[in-house]
Amino acid sequence: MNKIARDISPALTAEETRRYGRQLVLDQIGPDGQEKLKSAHVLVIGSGGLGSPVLLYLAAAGIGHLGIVDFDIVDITNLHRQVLFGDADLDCSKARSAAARLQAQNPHLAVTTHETRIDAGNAGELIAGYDVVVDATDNFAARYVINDACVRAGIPNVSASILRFDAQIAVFDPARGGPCYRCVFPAPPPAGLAPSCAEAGVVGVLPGIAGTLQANEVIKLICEIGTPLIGRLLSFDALETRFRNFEIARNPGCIACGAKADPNRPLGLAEAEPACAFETPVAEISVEKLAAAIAEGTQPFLLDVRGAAEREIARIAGSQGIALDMLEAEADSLPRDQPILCICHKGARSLKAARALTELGFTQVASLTGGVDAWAERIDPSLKRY
Amino acid sequence: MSIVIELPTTLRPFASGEAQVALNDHASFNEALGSLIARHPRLKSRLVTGSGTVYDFVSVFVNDRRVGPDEFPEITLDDGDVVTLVPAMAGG
Repeated sequence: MNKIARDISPALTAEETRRYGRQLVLDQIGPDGQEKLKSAHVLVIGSGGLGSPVLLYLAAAGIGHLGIVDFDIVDITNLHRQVLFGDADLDCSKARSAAARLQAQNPHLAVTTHETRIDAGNAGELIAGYDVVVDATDNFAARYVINDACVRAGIPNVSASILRFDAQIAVFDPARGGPCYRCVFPAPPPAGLAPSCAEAGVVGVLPGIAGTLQANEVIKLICEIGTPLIGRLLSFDALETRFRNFEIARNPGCIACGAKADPNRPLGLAEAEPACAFETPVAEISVEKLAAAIAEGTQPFLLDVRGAAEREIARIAGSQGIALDMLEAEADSLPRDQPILCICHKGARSLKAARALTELGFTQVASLTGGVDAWAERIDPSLKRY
Repeated sequence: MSIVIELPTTLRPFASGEAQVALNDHASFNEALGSLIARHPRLKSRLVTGSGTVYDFVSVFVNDRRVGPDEFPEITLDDGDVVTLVPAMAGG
């Protein structure tokens, strides 16, 4: 059950009436709506790129109780888009740093922090008692767990996701007749077909745009105003500044919200697909071994599979660039009579590249463990890290 | 008759950078998908499974309305129809 007593008086004090005056005067909100916001319990899962604007705007708008779920700590690579945090928060708990910032912003706010990773075992308990859940996570496993738990509890799931310059926003709420996340995306992509923001990049303002749209939907749901984004998938292309509204509907056969959904089915994805078990094994070598090979003049062909912008920041001397996306198309330009060492930022994309080349018939392929980042840290400190 | 298939930014590198692919003379969705893959073979492994069905993480919209996999064989496309492919993303 909820961690915050539900007996907080919804009546607005004189100070609160002044604080929220500019939205109180809106006919659609008024004192009644503001009191609904004050009485509301909203759980925001993920306090990163999307979670930052969601939390900042909901705290400012007068939500009475915000829950924050985040197990992570603040890293310098977060700061270009996770605007809740600054340099002083580096290496600190995101959930606790966020709570401190939000309560400084609005002393009327109650915050509950959950410094844990949401999973099938804890999701039901975490979301219990909240009126609205906001999915601001960064991985598919969490998205399917959150969806399933919200469907089962009858709680609306205000969801957004981002990548590169693209965003998707929707309110999944079968209890109000709309579809759930699984109705639209019944299964996640196989490993290797869906890059993360760390691999593919994301423009910093994009979560700001998507996250504020999520906050707006939360306020609409609580105040029961306007037309919520139920039954629609809103997509945003930041490069073209283009919004699209797609019509989405319940899938009668959906395993989460369909008529024959099993109420005892475990939440989230089925037991993690043993993708690794079927993946082509790939040799890995350390940056120290590569440095020794270079010193001896026996280095392999160095294939950097990052994009041009990343290679411009830092690269290992002598490496040739073919972005992972283009590897299959340009594989014919690679030497077949020489060992090839695939290199990326931290070693994830280079594994995929090495695996892809092996499957294309290249016989002497390896991946550089830790990538350019490890090279910069341990071999060549003159290179920039990012 | 001409229809257009819109590709998300993540798939454009596998379609010579094209955001929209115009196809002629296709009466069904499955035929159009086959023609798209014939024109840009590198899309195949990113759009369809080994058995040739569209991956579950790719939602298909015809004129902005989602159509489920069960409907694919029955979808007939008319002149001017726009098919949009929207893959799931997880970044946050």
